[in-house]
Amino acid sequence: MSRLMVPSVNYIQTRGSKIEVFGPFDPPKQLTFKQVEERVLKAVRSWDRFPADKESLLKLDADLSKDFGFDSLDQVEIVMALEDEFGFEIPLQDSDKFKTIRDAFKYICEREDVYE
Amino acid sequence: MKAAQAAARAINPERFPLYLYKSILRLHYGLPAPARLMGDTYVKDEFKRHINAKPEFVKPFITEWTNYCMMLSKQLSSAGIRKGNIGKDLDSDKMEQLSNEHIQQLVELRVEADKHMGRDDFFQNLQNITENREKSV
Repeated sequence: MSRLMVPSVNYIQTRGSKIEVFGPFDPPKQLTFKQVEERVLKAVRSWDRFPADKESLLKLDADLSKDFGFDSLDQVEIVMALEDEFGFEIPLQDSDKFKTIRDAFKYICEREDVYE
Repeated sequence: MKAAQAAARAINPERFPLYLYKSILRLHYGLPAPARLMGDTYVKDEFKRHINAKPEFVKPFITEWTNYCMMLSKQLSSAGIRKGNIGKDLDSDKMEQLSNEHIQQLVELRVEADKHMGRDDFFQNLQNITENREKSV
């Protein structure tokens, strides 16, 4: 009986550990703070009505309404750009509370389990 | 309970226009690219203009856009046009309210649009009608 309890193979296989070429799609990679920051800023910059003359102001701590003069409609559009960039929906009651770009950044990091 | 609270917050009248705005723009993702460009530009422009509108104008504005949003959501799925055509024809009683100038604009628009589509049956019809009228006069 005790012989049956011993696993026949002596190593533990974790998912994907034996696969060298992962098929047609890359396996999902863990995002880092830096990547999220880059992608957030990229999404905001490429929003079609982003004022080109204010590009130097664009950083995480920029205030959406004070620094850029965005109204609530603009903010909805920016959040939609972020949704498209990261591929998940941000409900309006959450995105309403975004005051600075950092708020959006924090929200995305929390949602995507980014911790480094 | 949580869902009920979320729903109660969702229909917060102050934020409803933003919901509407977002849903319309989301629905437009399913439109063909040229239609989406035109639709998005129009929706954004209209909402921008009414951002500080008086309350008596806001109500019909929101009602009409809600109707539009509901109509579109029945005709579109996230993968594109669900079936048949998108949009609907103008009601005949709405048509009656239009001024001659508006009608003329619509006719010009139709003729130009047909030109781009390579069709001229509407234009031919129009010419026939005008000729017949001239003869009878």
